[in-house]
Amino acid sequence: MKISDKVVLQIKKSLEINKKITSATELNSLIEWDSMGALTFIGMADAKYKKIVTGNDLVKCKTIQDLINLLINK
Amino acid sequence: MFSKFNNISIAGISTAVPKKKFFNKDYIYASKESNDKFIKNTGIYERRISNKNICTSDLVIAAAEKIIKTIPWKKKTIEAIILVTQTPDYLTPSTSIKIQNELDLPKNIIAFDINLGCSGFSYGLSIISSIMNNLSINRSLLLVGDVLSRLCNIKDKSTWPVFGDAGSAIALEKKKNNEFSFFNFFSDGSGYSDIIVPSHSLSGKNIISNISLKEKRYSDGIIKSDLNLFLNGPNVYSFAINNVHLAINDLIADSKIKNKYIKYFFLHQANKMINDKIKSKLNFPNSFFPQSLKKFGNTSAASIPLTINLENNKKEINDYCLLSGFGVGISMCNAIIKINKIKTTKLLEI
Repeated sequence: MKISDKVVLQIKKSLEINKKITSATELNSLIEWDSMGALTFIGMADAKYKKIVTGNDLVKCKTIQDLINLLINK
Repeated sequence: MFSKFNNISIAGISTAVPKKKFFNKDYIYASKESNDKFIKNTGIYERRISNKNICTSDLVIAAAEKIIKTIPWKKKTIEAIILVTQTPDYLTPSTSIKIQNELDLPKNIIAFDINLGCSGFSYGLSIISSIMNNLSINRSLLLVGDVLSRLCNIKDKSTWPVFGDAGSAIALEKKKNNEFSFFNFFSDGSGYSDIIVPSHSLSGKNIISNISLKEKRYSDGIIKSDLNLFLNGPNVYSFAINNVHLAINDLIADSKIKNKYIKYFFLHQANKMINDKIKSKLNFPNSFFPQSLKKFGNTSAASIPLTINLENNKKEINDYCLLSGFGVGISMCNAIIKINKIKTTKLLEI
């Protein structure tokens, strides 16, 4: 499994997203991507990737791929 | 910055909350699923909300009257009164001076307000300890309270279900016990807009006007005006989970108090996600972290004294306690104090 696929699954699980998502999925299309979803993602970035992600970082994210980039490249 | 004071002790704490409860499961501006998820993630089931006749001074005055009577102190022996609040009765004058009159305290008293929120209780303790030591004051009252519900728009699911109203009165006295209290501080103004009421402003483009009252829809479930509280939850969460534990560990190291002597961690009651994360980064048992979130929500500066009050009512505290206040500003103040045989009263409902 590619690392990006693994991250997609982790995001799906953490945010309790029921529908199928891919790296191209737009965050605006997910009802789970609200303020609480953002907190959950920041917590996941800290716990699993030891990355500091801020709300300002997330404002720039449009797709799941943007979130993956934060985890892998930041 | 690290500082320490000696010979100042808490004599007692009393806390007042409004009678009116608001249950988050009954929040009508979000779906049942959304409410359930909110409660699960934040740990906030219910909160106390002031009716229109209750303001900050009503809460802290009720608490102050109760603790003065309980200890008991003669009012004429109180020489300083400091109120920490972000919801004063008036922006001008300082509410603490109004309280001097309403509590019938001596007119030669020191009285002023401090504009701090979540970090305010520990901050206030450090300031009042400094004043007591430097100005030879033997007895003082630290008051902390907010009616944040008045700033939150009920149609804003990001703030309305989070905050509750409360006010505490903390009686402090000088004791020749050579017991030290330790403090450290953190301020980062780059996050000033992360928790803000935009039009509580007398400068710039947000100066209060008719437009300030106009409600706007920001996203699903978030409708508010510029006179309401704005909370950038993700930024505040990121700050808290990446900084608070480090500052706490620094304070413990600087104080030279051994870990085994610290038995309580009174964290500001922000929300369960933040507090659980901080707990997980500190190497202490879960049982060392009392909470008041579940029934009272985030009560701003009053959250720590409220939690101490409730805990001491259950079992008398006689240990070193770590206090950690963090939030709006961005501001943080941590403290290690010895709490020993303090008087606390049953929660007052007004």
